[in-house]
Amino acid sequence: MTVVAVSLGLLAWWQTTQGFRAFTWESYRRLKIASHPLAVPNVLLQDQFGHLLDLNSLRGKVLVINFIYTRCPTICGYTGLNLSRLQRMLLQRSFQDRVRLLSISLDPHFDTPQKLKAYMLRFSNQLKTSWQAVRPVKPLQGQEMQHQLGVVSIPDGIGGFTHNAATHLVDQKGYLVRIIDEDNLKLTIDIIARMLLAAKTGINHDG
Amino acid sequence: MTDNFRQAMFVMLVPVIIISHHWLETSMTSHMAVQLPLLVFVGALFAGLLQTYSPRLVVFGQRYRISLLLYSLFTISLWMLPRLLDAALYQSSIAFLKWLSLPLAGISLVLCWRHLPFVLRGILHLELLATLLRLGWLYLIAPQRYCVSYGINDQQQLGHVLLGYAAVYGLFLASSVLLGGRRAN
Repeated sequence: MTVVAVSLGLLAWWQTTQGFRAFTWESYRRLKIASHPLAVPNVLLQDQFGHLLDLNSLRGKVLVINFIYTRCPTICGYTGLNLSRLQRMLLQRSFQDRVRLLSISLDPHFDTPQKLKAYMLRFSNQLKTSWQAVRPVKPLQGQEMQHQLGVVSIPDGIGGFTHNAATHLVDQKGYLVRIIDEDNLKLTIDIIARMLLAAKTGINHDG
Repeated sequence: MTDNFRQAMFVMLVPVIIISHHWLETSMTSHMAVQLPLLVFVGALFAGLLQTYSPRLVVFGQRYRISLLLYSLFTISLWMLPRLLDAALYQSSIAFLKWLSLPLAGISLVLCWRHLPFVLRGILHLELLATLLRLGWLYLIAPQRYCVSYGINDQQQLGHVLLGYAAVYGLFLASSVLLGGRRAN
């Protein structure tokens, strides 16, 4: 009886923590995604030029997605800088045509195309690149997407949000396959390279 | 505690917890340091009432004391994970488990408690004190957020509150050791 109780208890711990590896929601989410890729729902987006695009229309490219809002006084400047670095690294490896970088706004009411454009200009004077800052045209659709992906943002009490800054990698079939710290560019580019190679050779990448 | 007092507390607390749940879950401090302990406490009150009405439960508690203790310890320790605190907000299955497992943990703890050896009870008291201190300290000094749903200020506030609990609990333990001997349970 005692042995059964101990085993059940350990099993519950094992299940909850993904084998004693995930003690927070974010680490659990990352492990879960890495083992069970998640189909990203389609969202109608508007970019910094005001052009509309369906997220689904980007199938066939690897997507590097992060979530920002242009009024963000802290982390979004940093993640923008990291994305512009990543963009240069992609250029060096001539990946730019097969990869798209998307910064999706968490504040679509405020982040008009003009605001998105100004945000992009903070990091590069070239706007027509593989990197787009976009906002969901229908805010509810954007929230639904964040909810499905497990991206949480909460009011920070001074008019902005505390939010998830991680880099989300979506494969060519539209599945979220990896979530990586925003400043881990080395790992990000390694995994992108593997995804592109897998598409080329038809081998399934294992993350 | 007399039975009437227990009954009154139970009847009062259950609606309070249910009505306030949304409000308590808006902050990490009240979620972890108020709501979760209250759920266990309600279970404990309920078990106390049950025991007086059904003496067979006392025999049950005696027979399965180790399993009951293990269940409550595992359950309570699991609910100290930040991951579950977040999950309870976003996954209704986990929220349901919270409302079921924690009162059950309170029930099991009360059913087994009087049958546990004196030394073990002392160890459990000290372990609870140590856990409050450890967790409080952890939340106070952690540089990053452990819950995606709550801010860092909230987390540090929780740290302060847990250390406060530890201080009160430590004083209570010390006074019952130094002055007591009367506290049989």
